Amino acid sequence: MCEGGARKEEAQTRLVTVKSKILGKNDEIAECNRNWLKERGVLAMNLISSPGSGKTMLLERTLEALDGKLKCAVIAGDQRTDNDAKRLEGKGAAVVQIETVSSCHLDASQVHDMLPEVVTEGTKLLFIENVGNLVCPSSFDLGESFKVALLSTTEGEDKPAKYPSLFSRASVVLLTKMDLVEHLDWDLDACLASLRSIRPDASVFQVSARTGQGMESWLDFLLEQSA
Amino acid sequence: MHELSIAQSLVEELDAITIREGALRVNSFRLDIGAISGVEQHALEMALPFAAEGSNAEGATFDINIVVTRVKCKGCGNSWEPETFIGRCRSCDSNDIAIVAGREMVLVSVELET
Ligand SMILES: Nc1nc2c(ncn2[C@@H]2O[C@H](COP(=O)(O)OP(=O)(O)OP(=O)(O)O)[C@@H](O)[C@H]2O)c(=O)[nH]1
Ligand SMILES: [Mg+2]
Ligand SMILES: [Zn+2]
Repeated sequence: MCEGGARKEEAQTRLVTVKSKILGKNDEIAECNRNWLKERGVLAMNLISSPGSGKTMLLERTLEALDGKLKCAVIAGDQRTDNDAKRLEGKGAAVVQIETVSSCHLDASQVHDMLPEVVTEGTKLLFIENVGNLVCPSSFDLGESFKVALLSTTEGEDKPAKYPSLFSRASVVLLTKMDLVEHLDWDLDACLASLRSIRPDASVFQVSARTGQGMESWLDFLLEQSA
Repeated sequence: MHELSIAQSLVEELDAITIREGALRVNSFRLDIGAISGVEQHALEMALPFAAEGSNAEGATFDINIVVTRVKCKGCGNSWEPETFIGRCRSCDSNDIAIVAGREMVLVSVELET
């Protein structure tokens, strides 16, 4: 900044040390959500991926499979439309949509406002489908039990190394659209190596919501985690 | 562009500090931003003046300190600064690695005009 020569007039200044987290308010609300969910014994997952990696389709198949077995709830976030919520309705789970309008991520207060409506008595699993975006949602804690990153086979192998802010935080990773692998030059080992380099202890599931491949292990994992 | 929401949260905090300290306005402030915080320095630099318009931080200058990623092995305590890859521990091969720095988004200090 150009100071323009002359000293500023006698203005008094004072330096204050703050050291506060910029998203401290969001983190506080997230913590409140986390406690609220914990008290009710609800396992909450924050699903994050690029647009179109298959979050909604995975949830469609997951809700259908768990219908009558485990009570589920869904919060779906998109910038516009309630298309995703409509796709998820009628599968035995309570579903609400949050339209974030100009925002590229869900934040803790949006989730906070929806929780009492969508998480009713007896709910065991809450899926939060975040806005399709690999970067922004990773900075905002929603109060989830853990983050689930989805990476579709059409996106290439090296996304984890390119987007460490998400992949270093996601303890569970789903490689989606595995049915397409035969049409691609996608290399599973390279993808896993990229992932391990960022998050060596991630639980990885290889699934196709389209063919049902790998869905069993994902569902077993959910049943086991919610127990 | 979540840098704008981050800038807005920051400006709210700066406003609150100005009021709490009975100051007139914010002259300057310092931030620590982690290398893998998901915040892009340039985007944040663009978003801040925009978010600060009409607030006590309008026209304030700022310094952004990028904090390098540092990890620590939970097995043997070995600590290092990975370039991009975190990977396994180089001394004991454990995969139980904690990220100890690199995710910061911190307002470190504020210079207020009183
Ligand atoms: N071949 C194949 N296509 C899939 C699979 N899962 C999803 N798709 C297709 O990929 C497209 C996007 O899927 P969605 O489930 O809407 O993806 P999304 O991540 O919810 O998208 P956004 O909410 O817009 O970010 C749709 O055309 C799906 O039919 C899969 O396992 N195999
Ligand atoms: Mg969707
Ligand atoms: Zn070690």
